[in-house]
Amino acid sequence: MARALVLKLGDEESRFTILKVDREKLYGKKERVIVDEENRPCAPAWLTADGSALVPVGGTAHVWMDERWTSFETNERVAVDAEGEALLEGPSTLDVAQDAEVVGAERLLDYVTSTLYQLDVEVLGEAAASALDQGAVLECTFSYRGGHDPDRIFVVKNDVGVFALVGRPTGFGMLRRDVLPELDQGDDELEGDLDFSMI
Amino acid sequence: MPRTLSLADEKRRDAQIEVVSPQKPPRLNWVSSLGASPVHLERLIKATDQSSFDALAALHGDGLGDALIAGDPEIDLEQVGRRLGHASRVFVGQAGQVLYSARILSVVTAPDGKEKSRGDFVDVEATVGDGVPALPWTGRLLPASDVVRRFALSRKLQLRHVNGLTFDFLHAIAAHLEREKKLLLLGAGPKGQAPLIFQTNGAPFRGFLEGRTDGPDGYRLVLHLSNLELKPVPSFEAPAPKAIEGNAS
Repeated sequence: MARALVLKLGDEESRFTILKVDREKLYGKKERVIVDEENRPCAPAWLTADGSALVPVGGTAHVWMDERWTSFETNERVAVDAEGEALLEGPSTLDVAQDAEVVGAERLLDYVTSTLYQLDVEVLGEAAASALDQGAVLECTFSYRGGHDPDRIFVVKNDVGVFALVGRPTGFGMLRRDVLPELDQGDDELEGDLDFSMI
Repeated sequence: MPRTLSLADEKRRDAQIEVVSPQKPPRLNWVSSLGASPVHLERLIKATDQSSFDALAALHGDGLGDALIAGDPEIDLEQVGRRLGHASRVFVGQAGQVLYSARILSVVTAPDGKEKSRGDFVDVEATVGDGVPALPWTGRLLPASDVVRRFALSRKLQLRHVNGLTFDFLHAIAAHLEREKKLLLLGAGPKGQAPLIFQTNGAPFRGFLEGRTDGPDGYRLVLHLSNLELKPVPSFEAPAPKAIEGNAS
């Protein structure tokens, strides 16, 4: 069964199946293909700095190591903050009801969208349906795989369907005018004859 | 060095201003759960062109299976486990040789996976930045509620003044947009219809300018960029399987 986004607005739960939307699915793609003199496609590879090895795609592995060159599995590491305190890791929010709130559409202007999902409605509560029909946005916490810093997800409805946008705040603030310091009028060094020798 | 762009207001006065991106979240520090020693990610070599299936098959022929049972010819002990380091990106021909000259093609594929066109790759120049004409004032205003429900705003840039004059210039634009309670559609070219491209061969975007003020001494102008619409993914029928020709019973 496909994993679902579950929102809880008041006492009502709404459930949506998610499908990621990207440019390739909507518009196709344009890619660069390298060919030789006989128009046969060529494969990318890495040539080591000393020229001793040619490494094809799939010929490398990412490994977690410490300074003693000891390797660790992914589940043998812990994220810490600047003070060395372990950070809490939360679970995925998919299939788990998340408390949602109704916000204005302008709220999305303060967030950068990282992922877009098309939503297929499985269950839609009355309050959620009414809010979406009036052009409002449903917002809640979202984390696809779980992690330390969940994103926010915004559910919107337009003429062609229901969609969800995953985003992070931009952090942009107001910019202020830099005011030049006022001149002290009491001590005018230019009083009297102007010195054109300027030495 | 900060990036710049030139922008015109509704009175067709233009100014060069700075643009900044949102700050990235701080990177996570990782330690081992066993001893709290810092750990980092390394990229190591695990296979080379000499240990690929094709190379081993060419070397051992029909005896490849026996060679794999008898030993480990697929592991290059001199290379496996080395850091990849500062390796050079190269392209390899059909015979496994590194190419010293190659042709770059641009292949366009439709959403259903079918190839639409193929031709020589041509650089697409930037339409925003130094040496490019100012982005014109299009006058096309759209309600924010319409924009966020039609487009995924996947990139944001904050416009910043560089001196007192550009402060007044940008503050006036922000105040105008705040009064209208709308976003301004921004594009490149003389009519503002071309997409915004920030570097050679960069992704093209449509731009929407949003303005807010905080009295006469504060403003916030954000250029919202989108290259993805909120539209359902089209479904395509899988090609019907070819009938298998067989003897008539």
